Amino acid sequence: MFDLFEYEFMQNAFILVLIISPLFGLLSTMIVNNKLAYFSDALGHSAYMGIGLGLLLGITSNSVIPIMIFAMIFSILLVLIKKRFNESPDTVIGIISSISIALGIIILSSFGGLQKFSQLLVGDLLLVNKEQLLPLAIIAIIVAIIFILIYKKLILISIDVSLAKSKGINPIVYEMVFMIIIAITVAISINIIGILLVSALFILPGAIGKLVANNLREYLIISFVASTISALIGLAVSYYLSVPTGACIILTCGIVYILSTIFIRKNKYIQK
Amino acid sequence: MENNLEKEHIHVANHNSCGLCCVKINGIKVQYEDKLALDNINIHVHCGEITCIIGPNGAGKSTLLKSIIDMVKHEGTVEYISKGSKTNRKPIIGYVPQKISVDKSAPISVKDLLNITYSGVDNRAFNEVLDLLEIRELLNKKIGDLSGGQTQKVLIALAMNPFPDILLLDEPVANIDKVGIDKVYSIISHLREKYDMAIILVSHDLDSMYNYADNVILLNQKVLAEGPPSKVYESEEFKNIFQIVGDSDV
Repeated sequence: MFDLFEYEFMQNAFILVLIISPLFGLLSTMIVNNKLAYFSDALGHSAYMGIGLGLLLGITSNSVIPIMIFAMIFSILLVLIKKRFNESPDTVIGIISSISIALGIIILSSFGGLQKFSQLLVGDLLLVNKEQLLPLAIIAIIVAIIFILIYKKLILISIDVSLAKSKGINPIVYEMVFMIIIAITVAISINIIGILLVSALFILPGAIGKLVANNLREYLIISFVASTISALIGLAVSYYLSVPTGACIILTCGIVYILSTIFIRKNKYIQK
Repeated sequence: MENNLEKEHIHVANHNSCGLCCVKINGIKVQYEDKLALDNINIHVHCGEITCIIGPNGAGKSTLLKSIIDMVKHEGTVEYISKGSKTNRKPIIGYVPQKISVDKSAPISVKDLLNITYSGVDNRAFNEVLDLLEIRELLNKKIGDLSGGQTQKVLIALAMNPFPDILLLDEPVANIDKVGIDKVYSIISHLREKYDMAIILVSHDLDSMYNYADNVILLNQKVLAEGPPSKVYESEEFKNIFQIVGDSDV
């Protein structure tokens, strides 16, 4: 039954999923709660500009650093814009995101790096190698610790900025730290799992948790478990059906979301 | 409710009940681009006093509270002088916003919200606040499912840790029905009497404020009148604003 673990690439992919998906599960709770789905999506797309930037600077071997730098600039810019306009800056995010994709693609095509375009879009978990896993795990643990440390404060900020401020919490600082850890997560994972899976895992687990949970503890646990289990099932299914892994994980997560919706509706109907 | 409010053994804080502690708001000035929102506001609030800020819409009432919590850019200072202390310090502020923007489906329970400030705090103090505000049975409710009055009680509980030198309430009864309004006012009065808390509240409820407030400040970008309600309500400035300019605010 477990013949899928006979291959080294599957073992690596399995470890990768165990590193990445719980982290996305945790971060997803705050992205969904703070209505940052559009932002996280745009951040994923900003990776094009990051790679383009890297090519311009002559960095061709490792695109993680330029993606990370650009994603961080993008994040900081966004927090400042949000503060300036004091509202949901969807339009501004859209404009910045579109410009960065367009510029990124132009730079990539001019420097002959356009083949990275599709790799970035869909990624391939099965191509991950052992050497990539350890640094990935270390960064994921650091990001998760920072997230847990700032979680309660972010919740208070999401409830009321003035209330948070009256408790001595500086909303800009905490929002910026959160955006930066999201940027780091995007940068370390996008080359491997692709934009589509990054966007999906930033939203779906949190959406499932929000549907089912009654408090923050349940929210974190459900999102964490939903993300991890869906990713593992998706990985196994993709192996047996020989279909792309990322897409399989997204579909599994999507099915869990739909089943949760039906379950919750049915429960509410019974309670009535 | 009465039983809870009459509790004598309060463990929330060992606060000086002297009337000599004072929060001084000195020369607050707020400028929004080309508009002067507040001009040279000086207010002293002593412990055990309820000070109510009244004024027409756009008078800068909420802006004043937001200046005190440093939410808006302003000139001027806010300092706290305690009995027997020679030095002033920044006051510990408890702030209760008018409303909170929580998605009804957000999985945040009352317990979660209170845990943000009460984690690590003596259980006795936490239980006392729960009983005092009658919110124990709300602990497992989602905050999006609370009524206006319940939300205000939870927000007051949240503001009470760390124990504040001054409690600021921004229109605490704006979204509450009549029964809820009486409860919220009774809680605020109780906080003043039992904890000797200094309280500033912004309100449009002029009738209730006449009965509950010790001092009233009539604000319209600057302080137009201040003093006991009986004095301020008889002033020319009060009559000009509430009887001639806009009855809707009365």
